Amino acid sequence: MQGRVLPGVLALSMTRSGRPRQAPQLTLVGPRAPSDEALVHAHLAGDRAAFGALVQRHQRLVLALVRRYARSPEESADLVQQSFLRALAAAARVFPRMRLGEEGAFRAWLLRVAVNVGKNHARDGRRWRLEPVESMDLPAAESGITDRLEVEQRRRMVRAALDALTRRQREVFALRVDGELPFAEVARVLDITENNAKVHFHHAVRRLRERLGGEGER
Amino acid sequence: MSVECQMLGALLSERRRGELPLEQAQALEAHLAGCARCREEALGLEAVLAAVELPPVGAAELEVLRSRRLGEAPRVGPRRARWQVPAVLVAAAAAAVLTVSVRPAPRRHAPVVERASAGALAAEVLAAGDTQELFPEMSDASDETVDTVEDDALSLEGPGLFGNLDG
Repeated sequence: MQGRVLPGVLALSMTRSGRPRQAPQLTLVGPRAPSDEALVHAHLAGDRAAFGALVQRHQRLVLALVRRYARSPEESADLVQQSFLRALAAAARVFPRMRLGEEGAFRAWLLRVAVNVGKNHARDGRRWRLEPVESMDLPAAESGITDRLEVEQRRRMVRAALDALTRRQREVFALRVDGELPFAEVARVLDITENNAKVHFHHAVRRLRERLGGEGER
Repeated sequence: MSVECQMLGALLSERRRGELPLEQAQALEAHLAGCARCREEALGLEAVLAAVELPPVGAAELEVLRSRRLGEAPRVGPRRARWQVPAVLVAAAAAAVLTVSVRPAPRRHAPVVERASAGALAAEVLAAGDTQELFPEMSDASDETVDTVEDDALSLEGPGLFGNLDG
């Protein structure tokens, strides 16, 4: 990585003698932002700002994917952090072998990690205990105690129903409903066809309807 | 069974978000008009889609996330050597060390054990463990217990993420 200039996008800072510094830094040299994969390579080469750029770019989407399984904003932030660290730990092993042209691979990996981090977090029954109503992050319109309890009860039922989905159905559902991604992008992330993603989603919603019964139709 | 029947939930989700192009929206309407089964099912599926949506990400959530300054996390150390001792060899080496320590081996075996430094062995054990535990959640066999024949039939996926690395 050291001494390489990533074509058309970024360059590593160099000393006057032309030799790369010990910890190369990404610098934008063109109108296009560096790809995730370029940032991962830079991060692995020691550029700490590259990690920040990756977080800045994806943290909101990762938050959207994990927050269903968290009891509080603090717990959501924990899960976001865990997702990034897991994805980058794996990237440290795999990305050195990747070509820079393989765009989208890191994002796909990160999102799949996030979906699984959230699900695994929920699998621990201790985290599903009834929490104080005051700690719930509910909209102002749901501020009445009874309303808030009902909302939390419904959320609990939905999480239990999601747990009964197959892994693929859950991944498609999370990316589509929580991540609000178009099906074409869901398919790219999961490396399946768009039609396949839609069929999985259809079966996921049908299964949720079976599990939720009348709850989903109120 | 038509394509619309097999993807009804997805089509309803797209229509709900206004993502369905006019032509496809009209095709869906025509299908619902002619398919009593889907027309009946659509009511329930739309109710589920509405029930499972979360409220938008709130300002409080974003504020907590930003306050964590996640972007300042971790420092990357020197990259490890690309070769690694397989876990089996590491286990065998560890077993050899234990055997020697519990029951003194004949003198001729001692030099073999002495060649492996404790630090190097520990590093390889950590490296091997790291390799196997990257994504425990993705290899959790228990998670697959809810898969059905229906899912097998739908499993049209390719080699998966990074499956083409060696290609």
